[in-house]
Amino acid sequence: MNTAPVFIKIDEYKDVIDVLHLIRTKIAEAKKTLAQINELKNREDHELSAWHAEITEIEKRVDFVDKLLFPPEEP
Amino acid sequence: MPVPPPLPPLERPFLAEPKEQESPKMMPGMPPRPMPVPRPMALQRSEHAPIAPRIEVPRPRPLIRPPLSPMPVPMHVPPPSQRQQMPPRPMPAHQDQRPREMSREMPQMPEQQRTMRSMYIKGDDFREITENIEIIRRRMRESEQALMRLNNLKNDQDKLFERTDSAIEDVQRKLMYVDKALFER
Repeated sequence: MNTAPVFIKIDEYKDVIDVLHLIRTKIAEAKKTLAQINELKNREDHELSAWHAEITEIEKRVDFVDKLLFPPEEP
Repeated sequence: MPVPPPLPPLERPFLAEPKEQESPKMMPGMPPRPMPVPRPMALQRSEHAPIAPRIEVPRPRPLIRPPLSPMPVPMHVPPPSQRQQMPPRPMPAHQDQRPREMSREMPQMPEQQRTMRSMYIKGDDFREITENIEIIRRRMRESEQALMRLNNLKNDQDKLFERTDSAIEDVQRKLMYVDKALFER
């Protein structure tokens, strides 16, 4: 059965195109912001790793001082 | 300083008085010529008045219009035979809520934009567009919820940083106490 195609009229076609262009611009801005957040997240991870190393180093030195100040009791 | 001699008087006045108009000679057997109608002073041409040169005004060129370009045809424009089969377009619900300025700006728009205001698309394309818009709307809600979760994580992270900062300050104070206790004289 050969059916004729149905066409639908869209009013304010130019406004729709303008809004789509605006949405595309907003999406590009969101992607740019997401990339900046990702960059900040990478720097944060780097700082957290460095902080973790510092804390580990402090813990080792505190243990060393603790051993020096309080030697193990001889049985 | 010697004074120059006076100039001799003119033999005739610089502006000669016009002679009285002589009456035309009457020829026997001819009707008398009508007397000329005196022209008003403004229209009388003086003997010494400058005559304005005749300026040849160029005639305007005939307008040669470029051939009319064909009207831009929007995509998927149905032929007239199919246009008659289309059902009457239902009035959208949001049309009454549209501000009045939009309709007032319509007549001021050029012809090119007025022709591009409306467009016909296929029904299948329209269905796909509406489905995609619904998916986009759902994804936007999910994206907003993800952003809220990230914001909550950021707040929790800030609280942990504040707590860690106070803990580090406490450790520094205790270290100073130990330092004083060990190396105090």
